[in-house]
Amino acid sequence: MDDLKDEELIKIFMDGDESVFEVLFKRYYKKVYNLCYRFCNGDENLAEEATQETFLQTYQSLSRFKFQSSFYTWLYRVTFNTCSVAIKKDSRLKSSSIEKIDEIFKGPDDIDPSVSILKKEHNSQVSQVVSGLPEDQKQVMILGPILGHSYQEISEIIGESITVIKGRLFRARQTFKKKFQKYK
Amino acid sequence: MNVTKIDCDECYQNIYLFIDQELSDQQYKNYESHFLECETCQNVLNDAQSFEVELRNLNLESKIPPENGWEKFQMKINGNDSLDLDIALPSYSVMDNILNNIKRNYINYGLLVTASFAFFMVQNDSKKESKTEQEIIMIAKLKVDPVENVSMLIEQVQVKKETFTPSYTETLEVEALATIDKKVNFQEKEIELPSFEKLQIKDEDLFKMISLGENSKVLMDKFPVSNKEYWSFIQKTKHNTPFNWEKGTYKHFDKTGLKPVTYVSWKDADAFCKWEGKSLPSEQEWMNAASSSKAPYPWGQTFTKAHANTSESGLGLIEIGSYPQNISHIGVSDLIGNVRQWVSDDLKDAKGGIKGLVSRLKIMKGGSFTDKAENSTIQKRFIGDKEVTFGNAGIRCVKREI
Repeated sequence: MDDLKDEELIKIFMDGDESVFEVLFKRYYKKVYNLCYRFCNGDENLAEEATQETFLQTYQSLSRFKFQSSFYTWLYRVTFNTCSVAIKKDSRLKSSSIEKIDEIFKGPDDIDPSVSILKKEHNSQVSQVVSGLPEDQKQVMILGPILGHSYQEISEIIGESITVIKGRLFRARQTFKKKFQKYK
Repeated sequence: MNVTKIDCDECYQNIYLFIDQELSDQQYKNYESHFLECETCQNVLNDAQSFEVELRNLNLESKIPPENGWEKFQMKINGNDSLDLDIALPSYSVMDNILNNIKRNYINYGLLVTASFAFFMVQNDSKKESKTEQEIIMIAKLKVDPVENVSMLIEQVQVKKETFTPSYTETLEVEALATIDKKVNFQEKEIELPSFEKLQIKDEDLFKMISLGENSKVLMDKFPVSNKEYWSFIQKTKHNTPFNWEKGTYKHFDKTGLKPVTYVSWKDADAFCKWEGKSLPSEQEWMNAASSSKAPYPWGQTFTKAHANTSESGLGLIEIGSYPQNISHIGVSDLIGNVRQWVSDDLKDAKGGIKGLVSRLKIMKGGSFTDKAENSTIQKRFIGDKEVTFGNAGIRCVKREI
């Protein structure tokens, strides 16, 4: 089962063998959780709830999957929508986001602790700027420059046209640059 | 492949399409050629790319998700997920439920209500040698508006979460603790004490101190501080009176003054100790006074109702010395039950404590008349905000000889 492609697994699922969902779950659990973690401003609890909700939604609607995009993109779209709802519902983020921001995008630790600290401080500044972007700009920044998705994929995930994504990314980068230069 | 000329304005507008590789092969060539010819645009590109590196660096480390994700998911699709509460972190909805419960139950008092919550939900991973525990903590101060009589203000909500590896695992059990202060009608009523005779407490007994050991320079109060002693402190210092006192006195609920003082915050307790030339014991000192072994109680392994005043007795707060068997190996009395006792330690810095936590959380020991016997052990910790008072927490001091 583990060797089968996503689309093959989904077909088996559609034919009635729902046990294959476990393979899909385990294949994407870490990725979905990480995306939720970033969208939810580093709130681990909310990220976990959103991850579970994402897979529940996916499980419930998988039989209606139309194979028009890759499962991966479709799953990210569900993730994105789930997180958007979770963030809106969850006003507590407002009170806890400030102390969480530094944890959102931690860079890897170097062996030399002094280098590590410097890098962490630096990454912390970058992540603070990203977190401070308007919500729609933050979303495209996470999906595009940070996670490396193509415009087509971002467009499918967010549900906006490529032209909109293009403009939004341009503005997001300009805002980021302007704000980040203040730290330098 | 032929190269088509593009102008600088177009180049600037589409520079990110170039960086993001969203151009066709032909367009890519055109831009590449332009960058080679135009130093200005090359500089703009270099500048833009330097920021891209910063952003990409943020994604080099991925976050490890909770390990039992699939099991939780299975519970969810089986409509069974709430069963998981005792091993998982409490969700915010659980906290919200507790807050709402307080609102429902205490909203009509029309008086000040403060509540302090400390949630510890421990996740033990038996597969690993070291236990990683996660903790979430919330402090909320609630106030019922005495004029409106219905509005509840949440003064403060703090949420902190840490991952840590304690060296003190046995005391950090799964625990959800909510302590609520409320003003009730304090009526002196006849209390049916256990059949054994209580200690006859004389004034001098209140000042009795016990050495923690032959070589120790620390002396500890034999009993918790009584209302009578605290009254002297208030008379001399004009310190604020406990919440349950009226017109500067405790007489309406404690005729003899021998009940332990309660509704004192850690700060009040600290001020009292200093006034007496003493200080609050550390958690370790308190535990040393309670037992020299790892037994859960000062008298040994098992608990009976004759040992201490816990919630099982149903007695409420009673006078000190009511349980003669409640005595430790060195002779310190009333360590367990009746009132919790503040110790000096901040949870953040305590042994096995939680680094990075808010620094206002203090530890209480010993359990009380509201706590079950199983929770009123020597090892157990109770947590409270240092400025919040509790109806089940009092004071015991130590004196350190120089």
